[in-house]
Amino acid sequence: MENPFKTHKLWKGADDEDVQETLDALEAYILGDEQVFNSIFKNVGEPWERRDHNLSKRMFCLQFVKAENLDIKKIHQNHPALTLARKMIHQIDEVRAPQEKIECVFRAARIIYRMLNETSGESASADDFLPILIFVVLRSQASRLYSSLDYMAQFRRPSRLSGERHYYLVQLQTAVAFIDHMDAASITINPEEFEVKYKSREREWEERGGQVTIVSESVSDPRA
Amino acid sequence: MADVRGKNNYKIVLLGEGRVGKTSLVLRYVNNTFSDKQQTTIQASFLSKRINIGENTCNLAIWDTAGQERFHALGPIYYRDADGALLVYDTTDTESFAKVKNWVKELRKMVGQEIVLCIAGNKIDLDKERQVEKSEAEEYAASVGAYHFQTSAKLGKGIEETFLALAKKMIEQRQENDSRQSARRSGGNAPILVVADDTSNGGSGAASGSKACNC
Repeated sequence: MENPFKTHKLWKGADDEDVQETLDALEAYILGDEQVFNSIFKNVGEPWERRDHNLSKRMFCLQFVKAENLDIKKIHQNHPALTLARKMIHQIDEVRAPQEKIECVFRAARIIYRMLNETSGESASADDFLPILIFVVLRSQASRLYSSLDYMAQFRRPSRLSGERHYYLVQLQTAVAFIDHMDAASITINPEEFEVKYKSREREWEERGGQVTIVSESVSDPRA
Repeated sequence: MADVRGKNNYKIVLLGEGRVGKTSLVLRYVNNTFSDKQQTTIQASFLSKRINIGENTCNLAIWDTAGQERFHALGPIYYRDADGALLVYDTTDTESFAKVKNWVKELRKMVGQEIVLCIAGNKIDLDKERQVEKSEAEEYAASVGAYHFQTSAKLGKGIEETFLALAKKMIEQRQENDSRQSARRSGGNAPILVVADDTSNGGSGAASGSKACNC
């Protein structure tokens, strides 16, 4: 794709970074277009739609899970940074271009790490990071995470999807997988309590007719 | 355009139980040599380092993973496209060594022989509290075709050697794979055969990452 640029007189003398930035802009321009984006997202295929729907249901049913159930340290449980990170994850649904979506993931990660570094004094590791990311994703109300993950991986140019950004995308994928398989054994909770609360949320979900939007007092604030 | 898995890019996953000090190990490794450079990474879970080995320059991308048991099942998401794995245990904690053995078994089963394994026994500065004997660990590592090193993130011991051996072996392994692939391509429809020989690949101890391969 870069050859037409390199040979065009307007890009004469441009270095590699210039060309890369041009391609970034082009990618954002095309995929950031509402109609182009919608046509892609409406045609992700039935399997992805089903997975997104199932995940939304699971996330709805799991809203009783608290930070302490994931053994997140007390000083982090009520930290305002979690709200910011949660909004960043939620924003994945609201932006269109792959690079913008990836930036949301990256910013959420950066917010969490900054908090971890500030509160602990030493460098934070994946051991501290992942439970918090899981919690933040669970509370995010993001509704198309599987499709978004696939879209980011498919449509971001590979040369730009490397290093740290790639790592955080995989972390998000991990968090989603964990939520999708979360049960009483994978978190710190009384199994009966898990069962009862899950069932009750599930009934609520059915009553709402399997609605995707999960708006309730308890989920709008991570401190709840 | 640069490939994600570019010619000189190597991915290493860090595996080990929560408190074995795997994060400090990598921090020690990356920061020691890059101390004059500004770290652009935001934290310690993804670190990269460029090293020169002979004529090869290689970029190591080191991926930290959460070590808690509850995240064990998510391992494949991290390691499936890795070139190498650094498995860290705490020499004062037998259980952490048992965990490493589990990881090795799983990695060999899931990704086979193509991933380079390196086992590091960390916290040798606490020698008085040692529970895992060096000879035992070395013997085990040799039996599964992995390197074994003793390290101390605290004292900065053994770390450089660990990563150097790992890097050398990953380069070697990739060259081997590349030549095997081109041989396969020219050889028509020969079945894909991965030569699996645990004992002759990679020893333990010294960084002698250049043992002849038998394929």
